[in-house]
Amino acid sequence: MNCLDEGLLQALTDGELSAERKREAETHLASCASCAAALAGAAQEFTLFSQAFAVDESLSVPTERLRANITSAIAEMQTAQAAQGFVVRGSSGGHVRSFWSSLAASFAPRQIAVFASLALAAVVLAATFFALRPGPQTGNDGPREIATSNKPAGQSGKETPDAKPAPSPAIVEAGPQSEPGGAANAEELAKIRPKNAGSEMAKIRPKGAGEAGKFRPKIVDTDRGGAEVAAATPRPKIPQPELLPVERQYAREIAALKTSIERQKLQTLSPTLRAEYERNVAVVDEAIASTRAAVKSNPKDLDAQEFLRAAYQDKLDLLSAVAGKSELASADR
Amino acid sequence: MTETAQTPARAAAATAPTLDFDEAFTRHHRAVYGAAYSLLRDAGLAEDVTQETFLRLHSNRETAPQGELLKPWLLRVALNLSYNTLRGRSRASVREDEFAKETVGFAGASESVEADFERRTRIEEARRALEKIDEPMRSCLLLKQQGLSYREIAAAVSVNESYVGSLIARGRKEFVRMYGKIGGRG
Repeated sequence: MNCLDEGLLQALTDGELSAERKREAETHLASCASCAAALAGAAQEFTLFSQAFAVDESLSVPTERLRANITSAIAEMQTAQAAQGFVVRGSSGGHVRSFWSSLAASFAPRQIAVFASLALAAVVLAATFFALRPGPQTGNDGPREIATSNKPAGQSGKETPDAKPAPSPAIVEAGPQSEPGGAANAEELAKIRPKNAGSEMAKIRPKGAGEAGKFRPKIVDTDRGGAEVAAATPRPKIPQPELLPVERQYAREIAALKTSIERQKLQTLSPTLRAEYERNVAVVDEAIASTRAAVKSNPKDLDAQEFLRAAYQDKLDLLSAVAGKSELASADR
Repeated sequence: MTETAQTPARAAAATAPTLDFDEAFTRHHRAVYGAAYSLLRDAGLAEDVTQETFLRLHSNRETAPQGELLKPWLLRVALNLSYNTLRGRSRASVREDEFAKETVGFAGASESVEADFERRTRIEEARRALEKIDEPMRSCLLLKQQGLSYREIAAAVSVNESYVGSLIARGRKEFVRMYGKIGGRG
């Protein structure tokens, strides 16, 4: 038998091998010092991890309080659902309200409320934050232009007319948003990224820009082979020379999630859910685009980076929620 | 605002949903809370995460997995929420730690305070190392830590079961590497 790979060693440690494979592995271990050492090393490494995130058995769990809180939160949620549209907290603009009410009855309402309000909070915060700040007036005003043109609603927080979440420029494409397929997308990115995005908007938005509410008609079309491997390993790097440092990891994670959503599952969602999903992605993208513009115009600003990070996180959340949901839908069949 | 409530949701709740929500809560809330706590180390935050996890279950009760796959689903949700909470807090907590460090210095701290600080520093470093691990390795690792089987992990993370072992192994290696780096031990 050949030497044991790390997955096999891990499975052996975890007691996940079938009796037969276990026997084989043990026979090999008895005669192979390096595998035996690797096995010991693996166990030690996992112990380090386990200790850091140990589950405390003696933890006292506030069962009754949890139960009471959850019950009342559910009741609240249902009332909110019924009252259609007045759930979004605080500073949301009018369009959010209609946005919210349009989906109140469908897709995981609470989730959406959270995403929508987070995304909006991020936009509004970022907008006010940077509006109030005397930023350095560098010659680099491309991004700054985007910041203002992209998000009129954020500035006042009250603008209503037709303020459907627009697909944001630049970053919408940086994330694997509208990718029809891996390679094509990479090319597209390469085309879009290197320039300062300002004047590129028109070019970036051709897909569905005119049809409100239908930003990404292609989202379902995937034709990826080797799908399983794609899920297991991070996707191959797309050339993205201009990604900000803070974006890189997110871009990758989002890409991975996206792949997995598209790969097997989006078709299991009903058309309504799919539409909601796309709309929500658009809201989050808007937040990302505006915060990103701020970061670009002022790369040293940690708060701006934090906003951007938060916006990305919202997107990740949304995607994982959808991944979870469609997963369930398909598991149900 | 003046719309009268049709309460379709309430009606739906009255006709028994496919999932017995109360039973799900009773059976799994400890595991969910424990998972959240293992990452967050904060009772209040762990409660918030637990609550949100079950609200999501409630929202998805028509489609949520039944039976043995419910727990992996719940833990995955809880860990994701916890992880996101952590990320949001990480900057704040760096400041807290700096403050704690100063305070320890000023107060001529007792040994136990120092030990506690040490411990918290280690936890913080471990969290930062965790942040560096890519998905789905991170989730596999965390779910394994919560005692799930490969089959359950595979269902929760939606990867092929035969990959789970290597995903855990890779995540574990990456964790040790990053943890060493961050703590200056590497």
